[in-house]
Amino acid sequence: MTYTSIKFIFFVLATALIYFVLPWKKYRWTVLLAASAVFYCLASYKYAVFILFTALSTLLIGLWLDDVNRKGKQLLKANKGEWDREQKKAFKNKQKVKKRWIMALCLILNFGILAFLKYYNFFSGSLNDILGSFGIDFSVPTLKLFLPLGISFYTFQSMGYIVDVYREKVKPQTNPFKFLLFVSFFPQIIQGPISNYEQLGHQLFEGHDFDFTRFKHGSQLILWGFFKKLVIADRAVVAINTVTATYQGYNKYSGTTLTFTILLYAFQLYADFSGGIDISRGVAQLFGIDLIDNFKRPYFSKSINEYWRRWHISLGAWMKDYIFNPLAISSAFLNASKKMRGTRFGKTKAGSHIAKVLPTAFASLIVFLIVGIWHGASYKYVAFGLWNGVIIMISTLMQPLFDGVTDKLHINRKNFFFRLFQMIRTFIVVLVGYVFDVAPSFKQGMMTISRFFTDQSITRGKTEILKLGITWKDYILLGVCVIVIWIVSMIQEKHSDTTIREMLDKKPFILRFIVFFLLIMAVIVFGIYGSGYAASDFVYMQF
Amino acid sequence: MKAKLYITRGIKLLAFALAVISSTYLLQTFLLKRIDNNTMRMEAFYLEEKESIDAVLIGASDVYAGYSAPYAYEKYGYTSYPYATQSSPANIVLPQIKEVIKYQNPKMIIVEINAFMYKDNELPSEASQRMFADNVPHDQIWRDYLADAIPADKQIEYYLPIVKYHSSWNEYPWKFKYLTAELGLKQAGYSLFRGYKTVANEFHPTVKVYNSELKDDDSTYPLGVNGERYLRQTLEYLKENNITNVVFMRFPHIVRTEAYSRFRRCNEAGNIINSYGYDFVNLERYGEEEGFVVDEDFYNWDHLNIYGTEKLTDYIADMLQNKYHMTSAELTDAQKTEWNDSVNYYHMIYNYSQEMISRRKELGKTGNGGTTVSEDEKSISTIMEYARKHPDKGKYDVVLKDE
Repeated sequence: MTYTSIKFIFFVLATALIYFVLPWKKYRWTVLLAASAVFYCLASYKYAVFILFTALSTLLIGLWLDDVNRKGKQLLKANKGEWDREQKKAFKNKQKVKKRWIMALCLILNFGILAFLKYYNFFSGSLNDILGSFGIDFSVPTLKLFLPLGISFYTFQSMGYIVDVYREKVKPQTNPFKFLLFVSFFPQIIQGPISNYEQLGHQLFEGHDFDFTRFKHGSQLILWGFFKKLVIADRAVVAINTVTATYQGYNKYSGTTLTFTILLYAFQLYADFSGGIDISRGVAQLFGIDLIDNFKRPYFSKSINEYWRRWHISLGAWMKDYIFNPLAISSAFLNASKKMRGTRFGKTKAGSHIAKVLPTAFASLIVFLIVGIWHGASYKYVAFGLWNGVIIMISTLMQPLFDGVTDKLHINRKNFFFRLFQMIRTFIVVLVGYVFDVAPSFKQGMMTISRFFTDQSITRGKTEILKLGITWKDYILLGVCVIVIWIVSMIQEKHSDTTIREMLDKKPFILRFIVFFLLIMAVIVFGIYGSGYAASDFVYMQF
Repeated sequence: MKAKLYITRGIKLLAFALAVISSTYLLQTFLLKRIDNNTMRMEAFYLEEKESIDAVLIGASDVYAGYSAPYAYEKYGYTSYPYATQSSPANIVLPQIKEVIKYQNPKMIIVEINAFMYKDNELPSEASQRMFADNVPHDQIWRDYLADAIPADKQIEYYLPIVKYHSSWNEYPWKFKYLTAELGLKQAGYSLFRGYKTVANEFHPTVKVYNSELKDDDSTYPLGVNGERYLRQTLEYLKENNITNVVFMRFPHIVRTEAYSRFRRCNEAGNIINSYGYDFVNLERYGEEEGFVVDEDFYNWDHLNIYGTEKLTDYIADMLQNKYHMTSAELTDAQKTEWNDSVNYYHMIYNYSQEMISRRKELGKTGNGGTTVSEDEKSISTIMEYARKHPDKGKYDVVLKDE
């Protein structure tokens, strides 16, 4: 039951009906839990044990952490007058170490499962390659492993929770069923967004009353998601899959076609992922629950740093909170920075800047390496992560140089054309990263990039592009859709404090009627659905 | 105050839902649907007044390409109709017979047995099923057919065809040629071609053919499991319901090595049909004897051209009138005018096809190919244009209506 199926629509409507009809508001969350369980089991009942394990282990360890906290505080209180400062400090440190170990246990258990299922074959294959290159006749077996639905998303969400409990940022949940709902909430299980407990938890458990406006806005958001996914993403993916279907594809097609494919992929990926998130957020909104937005017009970004603040925001926020910040302020990184400041180079203007931003730069590199690996077990994803990380690292380290050049050239940073140049530059950097996403392997990704520069032929490209499984009429339709998305994005960018739906609410009924009528008819007529036109899975479902 | 708000919201929602549902319905009925010569042929059958057709021929493309109802009407005075769709599979023969009896109740039904000839590994395509299922009334026969032939999870696409055909917007503007013809058909209330479709070509096989050696060949080969099951089911139904005005036929085909086992399956089918007490006429076996010439009468291996059509129609007319003593229906003047109109169009088809065949022959083109003439706007205007330019050329005189 995918988010774009008729079955899912009926499933959501039935859930909403039961949710709002249930007279005991306090227990309405049980409807969401039951729906999430049904949804998960229909999709992947064989692997439900994994999500149950994650939920249960995280809940119990969270309670253990809380217990340690509570008992520690009680002990401190009981010995308030007896312990001196040193004793208190020693006790606190001991507590901290203990808590850290408990949290580590949870992280190791759950990330261990994720790593084993997702990366075992990648590492065993790599190890075999290394052993083979040394002439060692030993091979680590590869296993037939399947990924449980949404494992990356629910593991990250749960581990975020445990770190928050460790940091005493949130009170641990004591009800295992409520916690299971937080981990498995069906609108977000397939591809996020990765929510934090503080933002989502209380919303899930409080019984919401039916609110017509919220329900309407939720439905409209779902419709917009359907448009992006079924009309744009699933149409574009036909052409992309034709090119990427075989290794030979990379030799078969000209650099022009490959460039076009990557460009098409950029729009397909955005429409697919953001469309899916719109559906998730729309469905949650029907129940009165606000999920965080995962996108803020990422292709309008003026730097790659900004792009990652606008693209997959929930993953970015997770990485920032739980990896980047701890790394950037870690003693190892701060010491390295300090050491550099003590050198001769560190005393120069450039050196001082580099020493200052060194922890941030290295933390970024590591974060993006992890982001790359999070996307999949393959060197191509490592390359994808490193590409982004290195660009961010270089831009952080060389910021004064870039600023100097800009000043020297008397460029007005607010100038439209300069901003446009920044956007295009960033978009090109993003596209290069996407090559590794699209290509079947790292090697083929590199080959594709080389063909961008060595095999451009507009004549061949024009012929090839029309043979990618979709017609020229589809391309025109995609072009129109891109314009629609662009106009909507421009409006959103201009009025970021409100939503298009809220803006439309203020317009006359007939205008709203026409807009949503056209949108729904566009989905019905131009959507890729029905037999023979199987809608693709969401791209981020595989991550 | 609240009640007023709820009523306003309700009305707005209802208006929106109505606009979406009615637009979807209009789109699936008029624009986003499968439409080709098969659609037109099936739709036009249901436009014929009940019991105004004397003989209905059921089958696949061999039927609508090999038999001309207007020609039969002009020469023999009876009305007939090819209730046939391309590559029609075995499981639709019985529903077709039921439909024909329910909506027309003709004096004679001829069933061409091609549908039963498929091997078990030649599964019917969705398209061949849909050519029938998309174009018949949604009655109990249709529902029974769906229950038998279509998996439950796919049936929604038959009840709500836009799910299947929404992407057919991509076929425009090409599809307009059928849409405009369909509009004309519905406005006139009858089919101009009466289901006939041909390809202007004279096919000359370049490999060995066996047609001259088949007369004495009564060897058999088992039918596919499905083919035999549906054939027996059809025969049992006919027998149980005492439907006796049915004759089974095999139309002429060119038999080459690859098609020889199919020829033997025809013999097998004939034996089964005879065992239920029904007649079977095998023109694949006796075609040569009946005057069908391989190098003149076919436009490809399996289909007769315009010359073969007239020979087969002559044969069938003779069989119906002399062997089965079929009488002709009394037609009203209006119906006669409509049939005469179709006769006139048939003349245009014939003359144009004849011209195209001789042109191809002059160019030495005797393989597969040729110009398709079917009831679509493009073909209609082409044959009319030809008739206008050559009023006295060809076998027939053409009377052009005032434009």
